[in-house]
Amino acid sequence: MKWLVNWFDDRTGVKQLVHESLYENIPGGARWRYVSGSMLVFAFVTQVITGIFLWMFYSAGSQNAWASVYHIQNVVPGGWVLRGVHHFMAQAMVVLMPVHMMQVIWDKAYQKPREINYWLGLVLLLITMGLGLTGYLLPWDQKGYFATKVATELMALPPVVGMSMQREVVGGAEYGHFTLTRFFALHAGLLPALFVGVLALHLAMFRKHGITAESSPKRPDQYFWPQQVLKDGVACLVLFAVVLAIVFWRGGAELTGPAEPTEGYKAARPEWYFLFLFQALKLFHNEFVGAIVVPGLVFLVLAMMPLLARRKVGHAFNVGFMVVLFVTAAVLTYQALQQDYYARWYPDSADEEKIAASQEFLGAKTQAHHDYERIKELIEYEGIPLEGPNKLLREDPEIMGPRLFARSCASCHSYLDSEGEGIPGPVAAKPDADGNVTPNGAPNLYGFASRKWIEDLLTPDKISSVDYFGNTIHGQKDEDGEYDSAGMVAFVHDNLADLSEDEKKNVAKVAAALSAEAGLIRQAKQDAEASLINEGRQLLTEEMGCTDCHKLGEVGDLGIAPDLTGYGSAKWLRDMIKNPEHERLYGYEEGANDRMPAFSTPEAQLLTDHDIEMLVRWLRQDDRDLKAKLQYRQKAQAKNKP
Amino acid sequence: MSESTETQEGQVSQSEEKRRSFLVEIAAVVVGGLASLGPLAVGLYAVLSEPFRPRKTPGKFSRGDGGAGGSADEYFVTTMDSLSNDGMPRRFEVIANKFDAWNFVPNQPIGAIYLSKQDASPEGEQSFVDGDGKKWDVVAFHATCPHAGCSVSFEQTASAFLCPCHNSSFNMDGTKRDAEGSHNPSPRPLDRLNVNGEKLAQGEVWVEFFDFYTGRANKIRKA
Repeated sequence: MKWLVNWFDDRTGVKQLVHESLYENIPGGARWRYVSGSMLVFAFVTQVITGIFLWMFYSAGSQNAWASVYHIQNVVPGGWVLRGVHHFMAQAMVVLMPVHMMQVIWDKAYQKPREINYWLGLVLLLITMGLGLTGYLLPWDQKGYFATKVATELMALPPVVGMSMQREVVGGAEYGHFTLTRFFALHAGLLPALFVGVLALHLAMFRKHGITAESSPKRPDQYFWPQQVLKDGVACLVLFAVVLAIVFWRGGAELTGPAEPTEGYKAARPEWYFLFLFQALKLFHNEFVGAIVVPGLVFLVLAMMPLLARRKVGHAFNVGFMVVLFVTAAVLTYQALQQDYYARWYPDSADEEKIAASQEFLGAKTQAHHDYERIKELIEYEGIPLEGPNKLLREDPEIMGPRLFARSCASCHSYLDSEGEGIPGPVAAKPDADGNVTPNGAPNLYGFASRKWIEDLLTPDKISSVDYFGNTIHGQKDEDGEYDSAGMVAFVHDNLADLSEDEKKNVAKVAAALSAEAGLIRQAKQDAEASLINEGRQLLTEEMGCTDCHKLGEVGDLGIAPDLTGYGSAKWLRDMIKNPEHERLYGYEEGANDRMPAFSTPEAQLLTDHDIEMLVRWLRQDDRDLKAKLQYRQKAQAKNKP
Repeated sequence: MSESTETQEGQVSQSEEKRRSFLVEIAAVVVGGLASLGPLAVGLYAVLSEPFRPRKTPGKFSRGDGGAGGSADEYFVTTMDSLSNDGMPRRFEVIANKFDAWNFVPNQPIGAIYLSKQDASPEGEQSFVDGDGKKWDVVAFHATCPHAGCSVSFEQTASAFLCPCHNSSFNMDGTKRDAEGSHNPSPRPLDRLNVNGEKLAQGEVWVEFFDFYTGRANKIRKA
């Protein structure tokens, strides 16, 4: 054994190398407070190791990046822990660096002759921030995409070079594949290589000047090995344990839905350690000053510190400056969080504007969370297509439906479930000076054409409420306080009020029969009850007299009221959205259609066919339960087989 | 004599040697530098010039006739019938060919704008005349906040465009809004986009769409 070591040492000089690195004299002996530097080196090494493993799964590119990170997060065994450690160790580095720096300043270890080493430390701080910024974009999720977009927009601010610099970093005029390939090359290649180089110099210079401490008779000098190494090792192990604990506590690093460039994201925020810079942007009138000049000056002061410290007062200033800097950053971070979480922290506040802004942020976060859960379902249902995850989004009614509804329908309709959750419609118009109300709403379409929805429609106090026709012309009373005698509201009020139990049951049967016309997937089981449906249908066409006005199948005529054939079916809804004034629908009479625009005619297309398809399927809740949809389809297929 | 000459010659050759060795040092630095600059130059040229490379639309999708007949950045957005008469801004996506590095995707959303229909100013020559003989103009705003590039949204309750990032807000006419108690950091109003008047008179909304640099007091087009 000894022979082998000697043989190797003769050829490499390894013994001396090991000796030099281990037997460094520490004046005053090993101390716990010397561990911060080693912890940072350990944190960086952790990033390199976990980063290379992540690299084995990651694919840069706008169709692949999110999908590959999703795979790491949800499919690769232990992938979420790997990504979690990388994510939270990065944050540990950002926390430890200022601590290390404050220690160096407090101990005057930045003064002559250690100025250059202090500057090297500042460079390492900058590289770390660069690593944080570039890493945040790589998952290509909503959060990373939009937060990084703001950061690169700011990059164009410096005069002369700014605009070209931005273009170089983004890899073109817009975000895309090349933004990812560039950020990835920076994050996994250039910046770590620079970090290693500067770190080597930092350590070499640290060794040259030694630890800034003095020997004292009470505390004898010690070598680095083994006392300090043990202390460092314990500290690093604790650090790793803490990071791992956070990973398990948080369930790994967050991943939001895939980036949707044209959709926007109202909760776009940088990583928490950049929040103070984000908040500072709100304070300055001039972006250039807020984003470049002020942080630049702060950094200049930091760089000047060793020179300032030549005078005693300079050192005191430096310590004071650091304290002020930390406090300011902490206050700004707190302010940023307070504004975002205002509605949650101060639910009783009277400051409506602040509450509204905060609710928008929180709402966007919740929505992003829902979207992510939905995408997970979609991926489990049909996998991620070659075109990328956005294809799943664009073709999913549960994601596109509410967006389209909010954009195109919610100025009149609401979509609120029994708990009042969902998409609110307009605030009901107030009566004018003469007491006349111009209706500005339309029915609540949650659960449209379901049994419950139709039953409620056939209930006097409900049909004239804002959830049905209360906020439309159909629900308005004339000068005599009467509803239009030929209308549905009057019919329900006149004929369906104060019903006996049997009559109520009949109404329920009618509702069931009419609802069966829709062929809702989620009602398929109930609709299969043929006797009830037939009974309801008979009531509908005979005793109840619905077909005196409406047409249903072969019974009744068009021209007095909308056709009930296939009421609530995909086709019926599609026709209604495309053009409510179709003769089968509200085109039976001039003025019967109250304000609803035709969303798709040969002349004007407010919504594309695809949009309408998404809205229709969402309103019918066809895709809400993907398992039920699958079963429904399989059953239908089995039926069609001979 | 001969000895001294020899010494002199020796001195000459010594300084000559120094000179030569200096030349060699220079040469070593230059040659070594060139050698290591080589790979760097090859890489830098590709990486730095790529973002400025002109994008060439594949032949199949090029608009030979110029499409709008006007500027190449003019896009058809919607028809006049799609805009409501109450002047409320509505969000539209601008659909165009999209380049993304090695991919070319025709007819993709490349950005969003807000359109609103407004009474035509009396001198407005190229406006749309509706069935009732009423004259209309269309105002178009870029949906990107001029402060830091987030996406603004129109809030009907506030009758304003609000930015979710740093509290910028804008009135319906695009000007900066001064809401009490909150600071509006935007350096300029919303970016208004040109609407093709000729097309407008025919009932079509064509908008000249491109992005602007954010965070500046003046509107500078991103090339």
